[in-house]
Amino acid sequence: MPGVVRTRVGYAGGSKPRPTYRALGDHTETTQIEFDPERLAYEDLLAVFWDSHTPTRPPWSRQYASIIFYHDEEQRRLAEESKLKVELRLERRLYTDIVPASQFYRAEDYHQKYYLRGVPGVMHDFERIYPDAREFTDSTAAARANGYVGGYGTLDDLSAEEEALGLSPEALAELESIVRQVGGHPRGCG
Amino acid sequence: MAIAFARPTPVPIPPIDARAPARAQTATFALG
Repeated sequence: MPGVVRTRVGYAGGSKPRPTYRALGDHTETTQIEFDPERLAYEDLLAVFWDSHTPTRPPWSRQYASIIFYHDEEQRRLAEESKLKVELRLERRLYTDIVPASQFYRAEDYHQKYYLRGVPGVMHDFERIYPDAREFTDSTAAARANGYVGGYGTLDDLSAEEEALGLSPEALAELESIVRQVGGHPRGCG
Repeated sequence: MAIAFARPTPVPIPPIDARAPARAQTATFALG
Protein backbone atom coordinates (compact mmCIF):
# COMPACT_ATOMS: atom_id res chain seq x y z
CA MET A 1 0.00 0.00 0.00
CA PRO A 2 1.41 3.41 -0.88
CA GLY A 3 2.18 5.30 2.30
CA VAL A 4 3.36 2.27 4.29
CA VAL A 5 6.79 3.18 5.64
CA ARG A 6 7.77 0.21 7.80
CA THR A 7 6.24 -3.02 9.01
CA ARG A 8 7.24 -5.49 11.68
CA VAL A 9 5.65 -8.39 13.46
CA GLY A 10 5.83 -8.99 17.17
CA TYR A 11 4.02 -9.63 20.40
CA ALA A 12 1.87 -7.26 22.45
CA GLY A 13 -1.03 -6.99 24.84
CA GLY A 14 0.29 -9.21 27.60
CA SER A 15 2.23 -8.76 30.80
CA LYS A 16 5.12 -11.21 30.34
CA PRO A 17 8.42 -9.33 29.92
CA ARG A 18 10.47 -10.11 26.79
CA PRO A 19 8.16 -12.69 25.21
CA THR A 20 9.45 -14.99 22.46
CA TYR A 21 7.65 -17.20 19.98
CA ARG A 22 8.31 -20.24 22.17
CA ALA A 23 7.52 -18.41 25.41
CA LEU A 24 4.74 -16.04 24.43
CA GLY A 25 3.01 -15.88 27.81
CA ASP A 26 -0.22 -13.90 27.62
CA HIS A 27 0.76 -11.88 24.55
CA THR A 28 -0.85 -11.88 21.10
CA GLU A 29 0.87 -12.12 17.72
CA THR A 30 0.78 -8.60 16.33
CA THR A 31 1.64 -6.57 13.23
CA GLN A 32 2.91 -3.03 13.61
CA ILE A 33 2.78 -0.59 10.70
CA GLU A 34 4.40 2.81 10.41
CA PHE A 35 2.64 4.92 7.82
CA ASP A 36 2.76 8.40 6.32
CA PRO A 37 -0.62 9.96 7.18
CA GLU A 38 -0.30 12.36 4.25
CA ARG A 39 -0.36 9.39 1.85
CA LEU A 40 -2.39 6.78 3.71
CA ALA A 41 -5.36 7.15 6.02
CA TYR A 42 -5.80 5.07 9.18
CA GLU A 43 -9.26 4.15 7.87
CA ASP A 44 -7.61 2.44 4.88
CA LEU A 45 -5.49 0.34 7.24
CA LEU A 46 -8.62 -0.55 9.20
CA ALA A 47 -10.28 -1.71 5.97
CA VAL A 48 -7.33 -4.04 5.28
CA PHE A 49 -7.48 -5.24 8.88
CA TRP A 50 -11.14 -6.29 8.58
CA ASP A 51 -10.53 -7.91 5.17
CA SER A 52 -7.49 -9.88 6.38
CA HIS A 53 -9.09 -12.14 8.95
CA THR A 54 -12.34 -13.57 10.27
CA PRO A 55 -13.32 -11.73 13.45
CA THR A 56 -16.81 -13.28 13.55
CA ARG A 57 -15.64 -16.36 15.41
CA PRO A 58 -14.06 -16.47 18.87
CA PRO A 59 -10.25 -16.61 18.87
CA TRP A 60 -8.62 -20.03 19.24
CA SER A 61 -6.34 -18.65 21.92
CA ARG A 62 -4.90 -15.44 23.29
CA GLN A 63 -1.99 -15.90 20.85
CA TYR A 64 -4.35 -15.50 17.90
CA ALA A 65 -6.84 -12.93 19.20
CA SER A 66 -8.25 -10.15 16.99
CA ILE A 67 -7.22 -6.82 18.50
CA ILE A 68 -6.86 -3.20 17.41
CA PHE A 69 -4.27 -1.44 19.57
CA TYR A 70 -5.01 2.29 19.29
CA HIS A 71 -2.22 4.83 19.71
CA ASP A 72 -4.35 7.93 20.28
CA GLU A 73 -7.94 9.02 20.79
CA GLU A 74 -8.53 9.55 17.07
CA GLN A 75 -7.46 5.98 16.26
CA ARG A 76 -9.74 4.69 19.06
CA ARG A 77 -12.71 6.61 17.64
CA LEU A 78 -12.09 5.45 14.06
CA ALA A 79 -11.58 1.85 15.21
CA GLU A 80 -14.86 1.83 17.19
CA GLU A 81 -16.74 3.38 14.26
CA SER A 82 -15.37 0.92 11.73
CA LYS A 83 -16.10 -2.07 13.99
CA LEU A 84 -19.70 -0.95 14.34
CA LYS A 85 -20.04 -0.54 10.56
CA VAL A 86 -18.67 -4.02 9.91
CA GLU A 87 -20.97 -5.51 12.56
CA LEU A 88 -23.99 -3.82 10.98
CA ARG A 89 -22.97 -4.92 7.49
CA LEU A 90 -22.38 -8.54 8.50
CA GLU A 91 -25.20 -8.58 11.07
CA ARG A 92 -22.80 -10.52 13.28
CA ARG A 93 -21.00 -9.89 16.53
CA LEU A 94 -17.23 -9.28 16.06
CA TYR A 95 -14.75 -10.80 18.52
CA THR A 96 -12.34 -7.90 18.11
CA ASP A 97 -11.00 -6.02 21.12
CA ILE A 98 -10.08 -2.34 20.83
CA VAL A 99 -7.51 -1.54 23.49
CA PRO A 100 -4.81 1.09 24.12
CA ALA A 101 -1.42 0.26 22.60
CA SER A 102 0.96 -1.23 25.11
CA GLN A 103 4.58 -2.37 24.94
CA PHE A 104 5.34 -3.98 21.57
CA TYR A 105 8.04 -6.63 21.46
CA ARG A 106 9.62 -7.40 18.09
CA ALA A 107 9.38 -11.02 17.01
CA GLU A 108 12.53 -12.93 16.20
CA ASP A 109 14.26 -11.92 12.95
CA TYR A 110 13.25 -15.08 11.12
CA HIS A 111 9.56 -14.14 11.53
CA GLN A 112 10.00 -10.73 9.86
CA LYS A 113 9.06 -10.26 6.17
CA TYR A 114 7.59 -13.73 6.06
CA TYR A 115 6.49 -13.73 2.40
CA LEU A 116 9.73 -12.21 1.16
CA ARG A 117 11.77 -14.94 2.85
CA GLY A 118 10.22 -17.40 0.39
CA VAL A 119 11.77 -15.60 -2.58
CA PRO A 120 15.52 -16.36 -2.44
CA GLY A 121 16.51 -14.19 -5.41
CA VAL A 122 15.01 -11.05 -3.89
CA MET A 123 16.18 -11.95 -0.39
CA HIS A 124 19.73 -12.32 -1.75
CA ASP A 125 19.64 -8.66 -2.82
CA PHE A 126 18.32 -7.48 0.53
CA GLU A 127 20.90 -9.51 2.44
CA ARG A 128 23.62 -7.70 0.51
CA ILE A 129 22.02 -4.30 1.08
CA TYR A 130 21.24 -4.96 4.76
CA PRO A 131 23.55 -7.51 6.40
CA ASP A 132 22.05 -6.31 9.69
CA ALA A 133 18.72 -8.11 10.25
CA ARG A 134 17.19 -5.22 12.19
CA GLU A 135 17.95 -2.76 9.38
CA PHE A 136 16.40 -5.20 6.92
CA THR A 137 13.26 -5.42 9.06
CA ASP A 138 13.00 -1.62 9.19
CA SER A 139 13.53 -1.17 5.43
CA THR A 140 10.67 0.42 3.53
CA ALA A 141 11.83 -1.34 0.36
CA ALA A 142 11.69 -4.71 2.13
CA ALA A 143 8.23 -3.92 3.53
CA ARG A 144 6.96 -3.03 0.08
CA ALA A 145 8.55 -6.06 -1.61
CA ASN A 146 7.05 -8.26 1.12
CA GLY A 147 3.66 -6.71 0.43
CA TYR A 148 3.94 -7.41 -3.30
CA VAL A 149 4.81 -11.07 -2.65
CA GLY A 150 1.83 -11.22 -0.29
CA GLY A 151 -0.50 -10.11 -3.10
CA TYR A 152 -0.83 -6.45 -2.09
CA GLY A 153 -0.26 -4.36 -5.21
CA THR A 154 -0.40 -4.70 -8.96
CA LEU A 155 2.17 -4.70 -11.76
CA ASP A 156 1.35 -1.04 -12.37
CA ASP A 157 2.06 -0.25 -8.72
CA LEU A 158 5.37 -2.10 -8.92
CA SER A 159 6.36 -0.45 -12.20
CA ALA A 160 5.74 2.97 -10.68
CA GLU A 161 8.26 2.43 -7.89
CA GLU A 162 10.59 -0.32 -9.08
CA GLU A 163 13.63 1.95 -9.33
CA ALA A 164 13.06 3.15 -5.77
CA LEU A 165 13.29 -0.40 -4.42
CA GLY A 166 17.00 -0.55 -5.29
CA LEU A 167 16.90 -4.15 -6.51
CA SER A 168 18.92 -5.77 -9.28
CA PRO A 169 17.24 -6.42 -12.67
CA GLU A 170 17.18 -10.14 -11.86
CA ALA A 171 15.46 -9.63 -8.50
CA LEU A 172 12.99 -7.18 -10.02
CA ALA A 173 12.13 -9.68 -12.77
CA GLU A 174 11.47 -12.33 -10.11
CA LEU A 175 9.27 -9.92 -8.18
CA GLU A 176 7.35 -8.98 -11.33
CA SER A 177 6.78 -12.65 -12.11
CA ILE A 178 5.26 -13.16 -8.65
CA VAL A 179 3.06 -10.09 -8.92
CA ARG A 180 1.76 -11.38 -12.26
CA GLN A 181 0.54 -14.46 -10.40
CA VAL A 182 -0.68 -13.07 -7.07
CA GLY A 183 -1.09 -9.32 -7.61
CA GLY A 184 -4.37 -8.05 -6.24
CA HIS A 185 -5.10 -11.23 -4.27
CA PRO A 186 -3.81 -10.59 -0.74
CA ARG A 187 -2.85 -13.63 1.30
CA GLY A 188 -3.25 -11.84 4.64
CA CYS A 189 -0.65 -10.02 6.66
CA GLY A 190 2.87 -11.46 6.82
CA MET B 1 55.07 -6.60 2.82
CA ALA B 2 51.56 -5.28 3.25
CA ILE B 3 48.73 -7.53 2.21
CA ALA B 4 45.71 -5.82 0.72
CA PHE B 5 42.35 -7.45 1.31
CA ALA B 6 39.63 -6.80 -1.23
CA ARG B 7 36.63 -5.15 0.39
CA PRO B 8 33.19 -6.13 -0.84
CA THR B 9 31.61 -3.48 -2.99
CA PRO B 10 29.09 -1.59 -0.85
CA VAL B 11 25.51 -1.94 -2.05
CA PRO B 12 23.64 1.37 -2.06
CA ILE B 13 20.58 1.79 0.15
CA PRO B 14 17.36 1.72 -1.89
CA PRO B 15 16.16 5.25 -2.75
CA ILE B 16 12.82 4.61 -1.06
CA ASP B 17 14.68 3.88 2.19
CA ALA B 18 16.93 6.89 1.83
CA ARG B 19 13.93 9.21 1.68
CA ALA B 20 11.66 7.37 4.14
CA PRO B 21 10.45 9.70 6.89
CA ALA B 22 12.17 8.98 10.17
CA ARG B 23 8.96 9.70 12.02
CA ALA B 24 5.65 8.26 10.94
CA GLN B 25 2.37 7.33 12.58
CA THR B 26 2.09 3.88 14.08
CA ALA B 27 -0.80 1.44 13.80
CA THR B 28 -0.85 -1.91 15.60
CA PHE B 29 -3.15 -4.83 14.87
CA ALA B 30 -3.52 -8.46 15.86
CA LEU B 31 -5.11 -10.40 13.03
CA GLY B 32 -6.54 -13.36 14.82
